[in-house]
Amino acid sequence: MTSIIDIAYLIMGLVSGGFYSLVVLGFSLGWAVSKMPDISYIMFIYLAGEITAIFNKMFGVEPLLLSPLIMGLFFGLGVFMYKVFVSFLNRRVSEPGLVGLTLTFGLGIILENLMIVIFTPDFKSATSAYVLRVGDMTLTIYHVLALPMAIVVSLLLYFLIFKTRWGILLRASIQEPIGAAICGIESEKLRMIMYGIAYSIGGFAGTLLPILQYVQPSASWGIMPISFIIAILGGVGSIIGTAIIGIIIGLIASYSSVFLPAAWVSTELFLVLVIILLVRPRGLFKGLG
Amino acid sequence: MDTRKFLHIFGSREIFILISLVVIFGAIPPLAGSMYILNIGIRIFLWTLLTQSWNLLSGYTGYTNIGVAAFYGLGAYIIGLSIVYNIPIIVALFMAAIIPSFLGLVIGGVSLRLRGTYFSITTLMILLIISNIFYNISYFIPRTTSEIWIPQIPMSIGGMSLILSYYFIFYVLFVVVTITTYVIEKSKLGYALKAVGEDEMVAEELGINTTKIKVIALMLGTIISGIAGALYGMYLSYIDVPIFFSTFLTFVVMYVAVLGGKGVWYGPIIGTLLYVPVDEAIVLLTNIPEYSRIFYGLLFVLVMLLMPEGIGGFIKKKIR
Amino acid sequence: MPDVILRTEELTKKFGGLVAIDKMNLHLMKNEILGLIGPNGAGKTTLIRVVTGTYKADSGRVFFKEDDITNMPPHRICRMGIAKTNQIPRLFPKLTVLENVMIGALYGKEGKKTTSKAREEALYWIEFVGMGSKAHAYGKELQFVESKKVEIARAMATEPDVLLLDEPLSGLIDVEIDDAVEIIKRINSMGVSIIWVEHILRILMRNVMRVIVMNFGKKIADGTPYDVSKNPEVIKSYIGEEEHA
Repeated sequence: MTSIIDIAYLIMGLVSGGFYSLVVLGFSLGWAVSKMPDISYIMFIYLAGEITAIFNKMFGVEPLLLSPLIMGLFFGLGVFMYKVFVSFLNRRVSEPGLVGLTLTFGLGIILENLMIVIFTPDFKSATSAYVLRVGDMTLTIYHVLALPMAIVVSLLLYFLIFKTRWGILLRASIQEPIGAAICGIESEKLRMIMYGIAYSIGGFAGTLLPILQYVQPSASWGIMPISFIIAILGGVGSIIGTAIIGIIIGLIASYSSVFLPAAWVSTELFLVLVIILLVRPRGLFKGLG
Repeated sequence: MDTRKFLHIFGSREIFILISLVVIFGAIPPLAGSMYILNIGIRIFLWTLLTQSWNLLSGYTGYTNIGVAAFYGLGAYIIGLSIVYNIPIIVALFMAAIIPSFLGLVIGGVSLRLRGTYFSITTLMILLIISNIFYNISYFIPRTTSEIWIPQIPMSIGGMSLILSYYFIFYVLFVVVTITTYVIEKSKLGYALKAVGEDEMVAEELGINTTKIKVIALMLGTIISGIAGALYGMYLSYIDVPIFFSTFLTFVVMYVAVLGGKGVWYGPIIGTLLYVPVDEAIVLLTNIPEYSRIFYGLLFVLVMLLMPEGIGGFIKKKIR
Repeated sequence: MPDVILRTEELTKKFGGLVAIDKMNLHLMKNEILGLIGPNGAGKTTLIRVVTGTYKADSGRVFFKEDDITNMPPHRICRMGIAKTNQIPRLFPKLTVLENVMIGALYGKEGKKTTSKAREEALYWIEFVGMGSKAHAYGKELQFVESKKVEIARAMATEPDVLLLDEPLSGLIDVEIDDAVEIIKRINSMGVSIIWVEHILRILMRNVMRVIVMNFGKKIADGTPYDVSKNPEVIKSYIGEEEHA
């Protein structure tokens, strides 16, 4: 009996971990590339979730089918966000972090309330036709896919950023913008594309959201502090760091409920993180640039 | 402070604005007499205190504190628990100032030596840990819940009504904190804070003990937040975790401060004057709060696009 | 030796695998202007930064007036009386020249000081370097040579006994160079001991009594300008550099 319960926690932990990793991967990479944390990104994930949930409920569309479309749209969205806001702020201000945070907060508020008006503030979820039974649990294919997808995406990103010519140019432009410009690298275009990629990852995470959990326009504010913590502890812009910390957090959250009453999960989680921070203040891994 | 310096300050425009603010806030709302307006006034004072406490460290030095609510909530719970356990209010208020500052000393002493982002994350996590501790307070202190109802303290200052008394108390705090920030900005400490914000390494090389300066600024901020929390807790007669240890609040304090202009003494006031009345107006005027929230989301977006240094920073630039 | 005001003993600083300064022994006499030269990458700037505490030494000691100041925090070292200027000036960009120098005056030395006293002293030093007309200009508005002068004023406002100048003449043209040398000599005549790192050898050699030459983090020569300029190893280190250029 015990072993089944253990596995359940392990699986749920990995699922949450996979999901967190996906969410924060885009957030973290976007931050590294734009030099500012983008709060509206989280909100847009919930937008993707809302759309998915609605199509799922109204037309019975399988979320996975929507993913490519949403990812494509979100790529364009990310490019748009970069062109309109990020570029502008980076030119205007030398340290755009706080300004970008505040501005994207404003965007987030606008988005949240638009979603409330258009989609209603109800809790929505989605169901899938593809389910599996694992021991006592009923899992959808998305639960199973969450972690593998996170790993696949991480590997793809890793490959893209570290092994392709494009990736090398991108990293150069982040680490040495002036030198890169001299070499004729169009930094802005590279970053813009990376930002679009980050957003499409977010879009993908958003399509998973209504099945793994639920969507509600205001729920995004809950996930925000965690996203910051994962991003910074993993190292902003670090693919490996984000993935690992995301998974660790998912596991801790899941396992803590075994050993401690549910009320204490968050505390234990954060104490662990404080310890990580004290031991390795630089975050666990170095970031993109 | 020699008299010549005093007169030099006295002649400046900023002092004029400072005095006007003091007078306007002191005179008008009480004259208006409406409880509703007084309530908004108290909220404005509260937000000024919170944003100013953020500003003291984060506005000037750039070490972004996203845990303001931790100290705010701590102050509130100290008062709440003290009243429940019959500790005299004066003692409680004193503790509401001291305990948060001690926490600030410890947190700051450790994390202000790290780079800015890591300090920020530490403050956020401290907020989350503390809010959890108080959420589960029944484990520590038997027969206590995280929701505390306290009887409204029948306070009356000079025969004024309850709400007017509270208004007056918050007003005094507002004046004290505003003047203190102003004085600090123009003082030796203010120069150090600005230097740290501009170029910390050079500041250190010029003889500034940057860690000490940052910790002092943080502690001052935590004292303000702690007292603000205690007083507001008393005013609301109700203390619980989602209100006082709110992660949303702790972020919004920062946004409002940035909106108004960080690193200037009047920044938080401007930000608050924009944020609170609009927020109140939303509730009051429209049936669909979402439309108005969209409006104030736009406010943030537009101000940041047009005046990235905040409205106060923009004004400061123009004054030159 | 009672007249030595600053000295390093087997000072070593590494960056990963690269040894920037290698068991460096240097001494500065009181009231001296000591030239410190060497090809690019010799470790001159690193040496200065270790002395001021900006970098931590890996091994070795730094002695200031016979006190061991090795690895003390930079603000303490500044208050004890060592100041420096940077090759590329780092003024506080959004503060005025006056405010920049005032910060040096306010914090550079132990003891209480009112802001008005600091303002007086700052104005004195700003005039000293000839920047009086620009006292209220912002740090970021200044021209390069103006920034360099303000940095000197700011350093002097900390009342140092030792001033470390990192390539004060780099980027300056003839007229400005003469002006700068004048300022340096006047500072020295006020009793401040100076280490002058420089690349423009012609000027340096004419204005110092002693020169130390560094290469690859080590001292390769120490003597009068004439002796040093005839030293074959010194010549090789510079000519060798030219061959690569």
